[in-house]
Amino acid sequence: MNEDKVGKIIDRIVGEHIVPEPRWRVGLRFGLRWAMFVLVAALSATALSVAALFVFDADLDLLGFGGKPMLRELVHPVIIAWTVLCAGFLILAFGGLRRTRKGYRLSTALLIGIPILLVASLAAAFSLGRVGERIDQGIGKRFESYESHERFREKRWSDPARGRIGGTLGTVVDDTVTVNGFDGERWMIHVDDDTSIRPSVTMREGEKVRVVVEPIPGDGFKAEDIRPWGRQSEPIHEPRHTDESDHPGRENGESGKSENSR
Amino acid sequence: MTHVPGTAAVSDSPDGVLIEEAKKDPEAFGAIVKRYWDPLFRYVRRIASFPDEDIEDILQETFINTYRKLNEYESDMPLGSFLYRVAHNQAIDAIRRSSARPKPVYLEDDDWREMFVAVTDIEGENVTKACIDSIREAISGMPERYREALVLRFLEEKSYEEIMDILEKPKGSVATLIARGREILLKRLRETHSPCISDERV
Repeated sequence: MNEDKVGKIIDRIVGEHIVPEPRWRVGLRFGLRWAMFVLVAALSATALSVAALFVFDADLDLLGFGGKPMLRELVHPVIIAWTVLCAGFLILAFGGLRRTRKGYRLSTALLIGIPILLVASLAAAFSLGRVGERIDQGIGKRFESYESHERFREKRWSDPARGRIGGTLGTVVDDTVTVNGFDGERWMIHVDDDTSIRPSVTMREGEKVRVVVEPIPGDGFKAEDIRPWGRQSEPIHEPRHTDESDHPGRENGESGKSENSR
Repeated sequence: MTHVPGTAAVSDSPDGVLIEEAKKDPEAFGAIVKRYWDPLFRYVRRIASFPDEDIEDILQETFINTYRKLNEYESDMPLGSFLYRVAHNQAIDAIRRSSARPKPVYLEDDDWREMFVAVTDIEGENVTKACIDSIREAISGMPERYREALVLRFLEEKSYEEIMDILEKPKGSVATLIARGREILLKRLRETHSPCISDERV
């Protein structure tokens, strides 16, 4: 090659005071790509943790209970919306990882596997830290049209036709309890020896509960399972045979009845 | 200031040493320019149909950009691949700026022959002048990304890893580009009844 060409290039570098981009700026530029990847993965994880809030609230043991197809229990506009958001950000995360400095060297399996693993881990951490729950509550307060998880849950447990009643415990008389529903209904439910009562349920007036019920021909309900309103961390127990102090009047054997004031 | 030819010495030093020297003293960068000018010139000519002066301009920008990116270079990649990548991007930009219409690719007859033999595994002596013309036509009409992959693999004789670094594409994509490029080339040769190919031979 001609020495003159080398000379021209060196002259230009020196004459135009061209210098290598500082190391810190190179690091920052490539660091930003990683940051973008982590950010979209975090957004995907957040959406997943909110979607999970709704999905796991479905009481997996009750799927299909009351005649509703199992899939319809999980296919709800809010769940779909969060799942679509999660998938969208996950796709961006795939692209984000590919655009990192050495992203092109990763195999397809790693390009797909790393974001999925990261999103799953972050979503688990966010769920434990109740991040998804707070975001859901925040959106619910800000936007009326958004059906927050709490409201979603209240609606899900205001469905006696499908064996689900929720609300606060009213009077507990003999073996009959009243449950004040969320939309002003008042349910009367019969509790017997076969009723399973979760350990954390105190059966005190004002306690918020979920009750799995069986309609009794005529009118009224028989309680199958009384669950706390809060998180379902406890395992399912065998039916508890409660004493009189727990459920006064149990031995009366009155059948449950419902008074729907709606 | 005018550069004095010949001051860019240490041309037998390893690439890594040259890079470190160049970061401190631009004069030392001359040794890198000297070492890689010819292969890069040949490469750019193979992927872009430009006159020599334009290719020289492209290379000048390539080396200036490389100088700016010296701190971006990491030793886990051959310096050659890094320079090919910058030259490739520079050439592609120039192609896109110059014209929307593809121009015939400029390759020496030996290049065409070499490419054809590598792609088809047919003996070189079967490649006649008429055959070379048909290959030229087939390759010139080929989508840019396949042509680049074939040039890098069969003319520049780069490994898959090197092509991966130059094109910044995963290995699987590189393999697909090469395989698909071969298919397209052979298909076009068959369709145009190229004198250098027959169904019995390929």
